[in-house]
Amino acid sequence: MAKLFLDAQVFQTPALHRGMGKYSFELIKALSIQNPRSQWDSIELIVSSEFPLDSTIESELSVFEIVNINRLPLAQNDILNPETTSKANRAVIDEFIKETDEGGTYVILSLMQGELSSTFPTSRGISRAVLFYDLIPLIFHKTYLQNPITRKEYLSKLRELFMADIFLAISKTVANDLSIFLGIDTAKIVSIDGGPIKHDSKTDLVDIDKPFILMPTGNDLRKNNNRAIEGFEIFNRKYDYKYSLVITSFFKEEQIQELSGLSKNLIFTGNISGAKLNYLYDNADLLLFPSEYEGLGLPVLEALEHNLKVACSDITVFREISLKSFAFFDPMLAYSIAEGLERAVKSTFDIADANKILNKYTWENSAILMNNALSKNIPTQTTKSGSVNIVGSDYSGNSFVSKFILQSHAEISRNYNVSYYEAYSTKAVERRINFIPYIAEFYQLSREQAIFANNSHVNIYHLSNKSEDSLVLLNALSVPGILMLHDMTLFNTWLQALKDGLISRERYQLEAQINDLHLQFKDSWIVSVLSVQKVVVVFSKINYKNILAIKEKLNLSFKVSLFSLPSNKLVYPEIIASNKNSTDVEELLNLDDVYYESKLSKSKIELVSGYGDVSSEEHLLKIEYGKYNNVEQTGYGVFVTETSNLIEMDK
Amino acid sequence: MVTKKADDKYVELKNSISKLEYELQMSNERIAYLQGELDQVSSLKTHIKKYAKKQARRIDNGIESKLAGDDTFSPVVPSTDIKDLVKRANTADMLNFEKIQNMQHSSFKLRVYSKTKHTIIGYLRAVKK
Repeated sequence: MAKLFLDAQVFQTPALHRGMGKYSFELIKALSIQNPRSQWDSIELIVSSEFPLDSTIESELSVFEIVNINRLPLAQNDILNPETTSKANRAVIDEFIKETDEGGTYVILSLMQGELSSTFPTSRGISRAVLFYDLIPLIFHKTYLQNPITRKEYLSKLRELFMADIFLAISKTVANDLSIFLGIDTAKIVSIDGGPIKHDSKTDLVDIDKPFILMPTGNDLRKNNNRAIEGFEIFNRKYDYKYSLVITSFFKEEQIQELSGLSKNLIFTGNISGAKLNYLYDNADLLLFPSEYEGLGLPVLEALEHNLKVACSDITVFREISLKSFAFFDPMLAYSIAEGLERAVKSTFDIADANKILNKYTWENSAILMNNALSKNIPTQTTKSGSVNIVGSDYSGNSFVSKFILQSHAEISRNYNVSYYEAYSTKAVERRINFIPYIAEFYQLSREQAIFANNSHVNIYHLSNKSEDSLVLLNALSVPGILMLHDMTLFNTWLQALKDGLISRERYQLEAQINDLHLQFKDSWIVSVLSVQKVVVVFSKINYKNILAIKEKLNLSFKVSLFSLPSNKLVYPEIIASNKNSTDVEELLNLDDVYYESKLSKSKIELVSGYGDVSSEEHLLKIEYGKYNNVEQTGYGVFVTETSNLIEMDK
Repeated sequence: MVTKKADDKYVELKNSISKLEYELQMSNERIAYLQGELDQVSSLKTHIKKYAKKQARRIDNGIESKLAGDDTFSPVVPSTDIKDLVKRANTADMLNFEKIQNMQHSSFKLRVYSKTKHTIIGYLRAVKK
């Protein structure tokens, strides 16, 4: 028996009335009722003594005997210096946990909330879990993280996220995202789902003519309001403008003007009470939910509770709820939205299926899933066993190799203090967000500061045939380390090193001479850089054989290791769409990560067999393609374990 | 009387049209003249810009090479034995590495200069946008 500590500071922020606050509140209530095996001695809610706690929340939760509310002197997040606040808050939490003198589990209910600085305790015997709602800002960083302050505020919180031992996602979609976009080990992620939220027990009449379609939305780009209204116009024109579209949430006057120009019969309610929302759910003909992305999509579940038919986007979060209960449409096409509305209007509400879904999505079940996940023997983080340097190039740019570096951070940072060195950040293309500078030691190499000169730690080089890697090559030529060789030729890299003045023309010619003499693998340009390494890691059997041959021929002493190329993995592959379309590989290779993953999941592509003759990009694409097609993959967890073994050998 | 009045009006209008046409012609000539002037200024501007850039690059290269010191290490290797060549290449790389490392340590001024230069260029680009 142990204590369940819940960081409940979310109830002291405006998010209290939004999805996160409501979700946390329902979950705590269910956890308090659901303690069937007396899993917890008590549930210790932790809030800040510096800020008021909503009185309704306090009185409703105080009803439960098992719940104690603890007010600790926790400071608000200091955006300019987040580390100082989290250090101070951690000391407060550690002190509190020490006083209780018992083991248990510590769960942060809303880690990414901007104004909060929620931190985990460092105490031994306490496992750390985080409840996670979505990765929307990180996935759609071009929309949400362009402001440098917002970017820093959000990304610096990932440091704490990576400290968690277990990740409780609110849906299977979010669970998959944690692994796909952050490389978190799938074994540590569990979806605990959620349930419909009761807004109010009463119903208040709203003066709206019937028939109408309800669109509970928000003033946010990903809610896809414009296209939804265009789709509604196409649909409604066909039905002689019989329907009205009731749009909830607050919009500015000019936004209402703009949206009203897209269709007739729009009714903007603004923010409305729970009782009025109940009326709208009870009296609408159907629910339209056109989001491009959702973490859970509670309105869909709420619609089912009110026996309301649903037309919604064909996105994984809704597919995981049901494949047959909703009229799905492509949210990117207005005509598809119109078709979806028409299918929903013509359909009949399947009450049996709705009940099946509602029996599954309950807060009780979420509490049970959470308790089960936390009752497993969770391996807690151990002390870090040293420091390593990782050297690569252009982390957020066009190279797939940089994905390695970002995605392996979650696991490698559990075992080591990692310093990152990034060569040439072009920032011209931001295919993925480089979160490293916000959460770890990070240095940029440049022509003027070309060498990181740190022999005291183990150096890991990621080297491929890219001009951006010339500085990585320069360092790898001189300071031995673990070389992750992603391509079997480094011609472009050498050429760029010459152009950049990192090596002299004579040195370049010398390498060309070595290359010419090295007849078996002509044009590889790899001999010199191999010759000084302690370990060389390759990712295919053909390359492994080739490297061994070079080693034997030149009587070199480095160790060669063959690793499986890791892939970000899916925790729940079953929610991925099974219908696939032919896609051009070149097109895929040039997409931002979010669109790349989305398109790859729906792709049918012909890939070259064998690894020796394909580029590192195509090799990784092939591996990642497998995860959407039920091919067993090696995750970043295994990759990091294998790397850690090499690091330990190298010490 | 009516006819006389109409004739007068016709003459008056015709005169004012001629005047306006003359004014239009003058204006067009003025525009053409100004356009010519402007073209000359633009071409001069481009020329000055190009010249300034060239000079700035020359000065920049001068400062950088002065602050950076000697070129990277250049080995001389008249050999065809691959093992020997690799050995020489390793030595060359070590020397090159040490040289760059020393340069980095000693050339604080170069780093400051380079950083300042890139900051100013970045700022000017941002302002231009």
